[in-house]
Amino acid sequence: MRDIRPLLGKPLAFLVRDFKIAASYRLQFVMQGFGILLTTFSFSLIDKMLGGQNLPALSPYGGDFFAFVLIGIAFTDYLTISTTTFANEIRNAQMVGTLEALLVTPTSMTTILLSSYGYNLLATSLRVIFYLLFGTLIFGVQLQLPGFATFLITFFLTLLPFFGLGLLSAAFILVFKQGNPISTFLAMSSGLLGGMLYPVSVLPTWLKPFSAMLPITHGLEAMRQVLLNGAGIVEIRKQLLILALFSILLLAIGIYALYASLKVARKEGSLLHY
Amino acid sequence: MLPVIELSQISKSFTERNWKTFLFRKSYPVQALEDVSLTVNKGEIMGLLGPNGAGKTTLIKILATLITPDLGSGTICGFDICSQSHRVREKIGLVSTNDRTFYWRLSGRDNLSFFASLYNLWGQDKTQQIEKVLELTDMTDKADYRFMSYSAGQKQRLAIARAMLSEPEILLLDEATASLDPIAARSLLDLTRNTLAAKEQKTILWCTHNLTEADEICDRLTILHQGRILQSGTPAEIHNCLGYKQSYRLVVDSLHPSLQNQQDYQPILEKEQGAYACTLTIDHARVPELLKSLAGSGVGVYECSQIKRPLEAAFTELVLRKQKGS
Repeated sequence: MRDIRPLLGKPLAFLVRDFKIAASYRLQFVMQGFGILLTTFSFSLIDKMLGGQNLPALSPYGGDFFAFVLIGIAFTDYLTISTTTFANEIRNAQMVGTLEALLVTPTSMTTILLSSYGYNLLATSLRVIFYLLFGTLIFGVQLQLPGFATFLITFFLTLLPFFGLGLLSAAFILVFKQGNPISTFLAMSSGLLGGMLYPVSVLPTWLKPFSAMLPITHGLEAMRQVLLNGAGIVEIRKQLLILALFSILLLAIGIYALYASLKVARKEGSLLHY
Repeated sequence: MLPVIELSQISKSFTERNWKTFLFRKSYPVQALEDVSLTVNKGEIMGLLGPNGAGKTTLIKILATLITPDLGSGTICGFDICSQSHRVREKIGLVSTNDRTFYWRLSGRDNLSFFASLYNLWGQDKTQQIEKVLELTDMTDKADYRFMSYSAGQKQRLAIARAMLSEPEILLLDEATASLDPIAARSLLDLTRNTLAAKEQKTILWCTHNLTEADEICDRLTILHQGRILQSGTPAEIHNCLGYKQSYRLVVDSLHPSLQNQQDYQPILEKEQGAYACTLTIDHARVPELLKSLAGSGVGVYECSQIKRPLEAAFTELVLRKQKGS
């Protein structure tokens, strides 16, 4: 049997590292749990204020505002960590001083970055599970149980373009150290144009083309169709195709930018600067 | 002698980027290294000496593949430092003075376990290797304490333990004793000389501005100044190239005239247990000739030892000569 330890060993080492460091800050663990409960509770109050009205703009998603927002918040969380984790890993390692030790090992920068994603993915998944559990068990949100394959394909195709953006962010950090435009752009665009808190159908007509140019719009739309309407691959094929195209384009740009920025930073001698 | 580090005509300059350079498209490059060629043989401890800003750390970073040179080429164990950086990193272990290269909230063992995975060590091999390097650096008892609780000396020992995880052929030690008290520094020097070099047979590039320790543990020295190599060779060769003659201490049973004719002859008048001690200055190559002549004259020689001149003197003179342009 092929030895899979080289493939899994490094991501596992990063996962253990990050878990042990996070566990050493116990209060942060507890505060995160409170944060999830408070966010969910406050949106349930907005839902209560709306009096469970079946809003026309939300009818393609079953009409439940709370369920709509819950999916928006939960999966925007995934997309945010996918975009910020790589840049944060480099920035933290530059600031703390561990980047030198990481880069003199025979482990490529891509492996370091992808491996550093594991803990955040796990922590975010736990957060999302808690969001959905609180939503369904305490606040009565009705979720459809999707087919496992449909969910998995939609989930990964939603994440992949953000990996590309994440690598691009990391490239910016390597060269410019601060002022990462990708994170700023993503934070602004996902809140305003991506349909996190309201459907993009309510946007002014002139803003809709801009919204369509963002992978988050298609990702959230696909996830909501799967989780709120029980849609299958065929029903969301348009979104999946767009996400696949975004994935190819952004991953290619991200990987190229990362290696180009590494080359520049090594040339300038600024790899370890912050 | 098998060369394991070979650098040929390495040059590196850094250009500062700020708003002025951006607006006016003017840059002011600082030459960090210029035309540096260096060979380090297997099993050797090579001292890289120089004042602050001489280019030592830049050279170490080039060897560690963290910086690419502008010009020149180099190999480590036959692998090109630019195009085969991944293979080069398998052959080196880097120890710097920066203790922030560890995760302070993790224990020493957890730190080693994490980095061992990055060196492709798994399972039983990883556990055994961690135990080995902890034992080697005398850190076994402290391994389960958090890194933040270590003393400066223990942190440096753990840095050496980490560098040894992959059993590298070459250790790059950059100012390894810089933040240590004399006792911890002595302990680290002993570890380097007796364990890493003698027992583990590692090739070591010892980068320092502490001339006494370099003189003590290095087989050969390379002196850098303003990015250029001023001198390279054994400590004795560096003294010799300055025209210094060596001083010797002789203990003999009689003060023969051939001794008294030597340059800077200084007898110690008191007899030491029936023998006479004296110091004199003589070319290293002429010592056997003198001893033969004394033996031929029936003089008993009980001791003939070289009096070491501090390296500081040679280093200072080299740098001053360079500054005066001679």
